[in-house]
Amino acid sequence: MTWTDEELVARSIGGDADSFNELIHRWERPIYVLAYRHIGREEDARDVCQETFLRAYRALAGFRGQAKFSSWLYRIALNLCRDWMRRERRTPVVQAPEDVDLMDLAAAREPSESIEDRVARHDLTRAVERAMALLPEEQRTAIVLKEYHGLTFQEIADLVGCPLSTVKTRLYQGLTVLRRELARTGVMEKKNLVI
Amino acid sequence: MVGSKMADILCGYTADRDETLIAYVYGEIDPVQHAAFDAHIATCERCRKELADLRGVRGRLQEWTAPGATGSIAHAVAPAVPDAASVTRASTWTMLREIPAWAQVAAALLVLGISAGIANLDVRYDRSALTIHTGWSRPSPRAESDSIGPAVQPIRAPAAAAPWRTDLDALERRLRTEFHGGTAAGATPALSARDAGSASADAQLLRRVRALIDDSERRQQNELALRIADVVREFDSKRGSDLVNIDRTLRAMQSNTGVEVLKQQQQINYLYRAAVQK
Repeated sequence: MTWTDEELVARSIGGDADSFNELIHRWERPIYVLAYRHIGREEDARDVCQETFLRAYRALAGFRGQAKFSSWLYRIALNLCRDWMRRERRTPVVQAPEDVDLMDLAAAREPSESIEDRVARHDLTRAVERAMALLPEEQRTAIVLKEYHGLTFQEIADLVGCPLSTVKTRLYQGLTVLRRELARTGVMEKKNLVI
Repeated sequence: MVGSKMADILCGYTADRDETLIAYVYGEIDPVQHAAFDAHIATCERCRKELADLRGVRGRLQEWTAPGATGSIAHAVAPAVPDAASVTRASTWTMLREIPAWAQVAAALLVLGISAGIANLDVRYDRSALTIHTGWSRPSPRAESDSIGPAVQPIRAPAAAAPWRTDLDALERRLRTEFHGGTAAGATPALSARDAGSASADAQLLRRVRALIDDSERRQQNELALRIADVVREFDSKRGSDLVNIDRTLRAMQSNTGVEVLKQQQQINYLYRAAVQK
């Protein structure tokens, strides 16, 4: 039987540790990805993800279900990302990938993917990461939540605590900056990769 | 360029254009507004172009994949889950891990010193009695000899009623002999063993430092390689565009020169004809 998040939360509050573990398994990847796309460091993103669940567990009794559990979790993670950026006093890092070696790239490619496509995809990822790192925090957050987590405008507005129209403006401005940056680096002109 | 400027001027969408564009791109727009914007973009080149650009950016963003996390965090969080007390315990250990090793050692030594001070433990065994002292203050020699006072708790064994006394004495003597002999003879080996242990720890530390340095160098090399690749790519791109510009300029110049030559040729012909007619 598949429990909803809210049911699992209720069971966790009742002392069922397995239910909370189920919530972790269900949400650790989205939270990790959210943190990584804000911070840009795998290790720190993992720490933020871990801390998110620890904080959620400690505050579980205070979760009244006004918002979805996932929104609540996202809010904790976003606050931690913000804390991280303020603590580090810097913009997100564009992490140097470990696999810049052509042999590694070749080994890591999909069977149907040519090495040229793999290299191109690698370059594209780097270009997007760099362009994203240039965005102000609130624009980046809006784009990440919209593009990679599929939240609605209203959900984003509720999550970050701003009006709906502000979310749309942030998205518009963010995408415009990204378009300019990607065009500058020649990424926009490249052919679409077959993945 | 002129076309896009014209398009900028010609867009006359009355509602909030940017918000509507975004709502349209993401498909979160009410049907009436959708229909109105559909009608607008049919006639507005600027909005059509911007729509295409925004969709293009979205397409590129979808190709940015986050790296996979190494292993689940469940095992890291799970110990904290069973009860709130263990969450506190886990966070305490986390804090402890953040304290430098030297500070932890210093704290441990301090605790040991204080404990020893508090206990002030002193065990003595002589021919007359087994005596154990505890507490902050030692008893006076007189009190000790009299075995009186709360801090002194002698356990006296009558000498005559002790059949194991001789065996115990012999054992004590043997132990003392072995201890003194062992201390004198074993001092150097013990020191050597400690030195060897220390050397082994140093070697291990050295290996770790070397590994860290190697790792750091490798990352820097990777980063440098990437930056060089970027510079080369940008240089190539710039060179390509410069070559195109030069080529275009040369063609224009050639074209202009050709026109000028033609005009001069025509003038010469005209003058020649005029001179012949005269």
